[in-house]
Amino acid sequence: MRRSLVQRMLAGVAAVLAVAAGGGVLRGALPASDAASPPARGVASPRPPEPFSLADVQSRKVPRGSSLIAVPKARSIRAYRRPRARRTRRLRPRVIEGQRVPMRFMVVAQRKGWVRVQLPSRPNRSTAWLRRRDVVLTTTPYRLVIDRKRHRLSVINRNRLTLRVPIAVGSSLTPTPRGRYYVTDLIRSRDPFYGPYALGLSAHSPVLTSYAGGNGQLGIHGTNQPWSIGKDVSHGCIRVRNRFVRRLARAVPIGTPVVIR
Amino acid sequence: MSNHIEPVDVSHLAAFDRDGALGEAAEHINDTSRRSFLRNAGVVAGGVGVLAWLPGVARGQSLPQGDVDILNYALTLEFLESAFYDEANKKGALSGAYARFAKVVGAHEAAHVDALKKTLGGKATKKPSFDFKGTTASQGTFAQTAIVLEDTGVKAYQGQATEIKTPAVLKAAISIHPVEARHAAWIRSIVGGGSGSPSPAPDAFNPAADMATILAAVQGTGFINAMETAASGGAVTGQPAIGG
Repeated sequence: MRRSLVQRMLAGVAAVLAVAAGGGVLRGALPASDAASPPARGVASPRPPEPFSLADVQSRKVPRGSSLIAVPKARSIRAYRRPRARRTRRLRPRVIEGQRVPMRFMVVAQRKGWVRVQLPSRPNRSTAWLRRRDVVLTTTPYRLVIDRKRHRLSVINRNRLTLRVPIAVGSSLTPTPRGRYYVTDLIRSRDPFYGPYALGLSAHSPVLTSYAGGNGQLGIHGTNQPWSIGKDVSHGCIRVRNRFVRRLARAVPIGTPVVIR
Repeated sequence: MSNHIEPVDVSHLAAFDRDGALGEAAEHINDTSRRSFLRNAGVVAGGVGVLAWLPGVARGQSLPQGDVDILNYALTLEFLESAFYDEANKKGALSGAYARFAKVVGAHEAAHVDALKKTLGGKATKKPSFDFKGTTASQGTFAQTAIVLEDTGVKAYQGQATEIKTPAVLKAAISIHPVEARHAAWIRSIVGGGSGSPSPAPDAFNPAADMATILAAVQGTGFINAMETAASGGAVTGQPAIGG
């Protein structure tokens, strides 16, 4: 599938270039100036020189297997319940121990001049609209897939499985909720309970509304209880071995989608 | 396929090489001694007529807008080629003649990027982000893509030659053009492995392609993204206030 796509793509480029080359055939003893060639120097050009714009060469398509992330241009951003709604709400970055957490949103839909994003706040999977001009769109080739039943976390990079690691998930009393979320923040942890890193998610516990000073936000983090991996023991978070959470922290950008199933 | 690397004549590009970076790159590429490189460069430096007024040109201040557009167009294509070989070299899927080709040609394209950026100064277009869609992951797709990219470069430079107004820019452009043609022939020769198919020199005359055609073709590949790829990182240090 992938190979045929590449071949089609190359064939398409070759075809376009072949058309461009069409005028280059011999006419008489000398090579004809092909259709694409401008007239010789010193001869008045029948058309003005072509202006160059980088936009002309950029693909508007989101690369295959990638997802869109909205990055606010300003420190805070106005969020709308629907495009052009009169009432707005201002979103501001979280602050952890005096450090501002970079604000990123997973884009779930687009409309001309607007993007719909998932919010990092409760209720789970709540969304808002942002003005397109207020954000820069970037992409992430990564997607994390949590399989609660098999206790597995899979890292997908451009639709290809690149890492699969065992995990612990929420207990029956404090379950890990299913759904499509995203990585909202990355915390270098000082608490050995969380291992070296915690990746905060837009998911929140359906049971706990407060935990460890937070509002029940869930995350993917390391652990100082490696024996718990493979079991349903957490308060809803996804635990991985410390060496794996380090790899996730190095590779996965904030804003990356996380699918829990 | 001979293992001998043909020395690349960068003498015309010396005009752009204000700080000698290109010269150093060329020295490395051609594996010639520094002495012989300087001897070559000295021949060019003798043509002071070009160098004398280039400082103004090199800052990108006295070029007509049309030439700035053409140079930015060339720079974008060079960014594309350079990034392609850079990714191929880093990925490590190439070996033998393919690996050597990617290394040498990648260095050439990086030198072109460097020279064009220096010439344009503050008017240089920014480097876009790229997605080569896995074409650098195998020798087969790498070679096919390299052929297309190099052919595109040849046609692109050729298509602009008569549009360039500044003689120094024209000299630089036509010093890059045959290098791209050599790249195209080299990779075809590697792929053909002596069979002559694809032919390293398929036609007696090479057609040009205009800017719009080239840009549309490149856009069609989806290799150049309008959107940057998000970087990882951005960690803050603290006590995670999340569920355990």
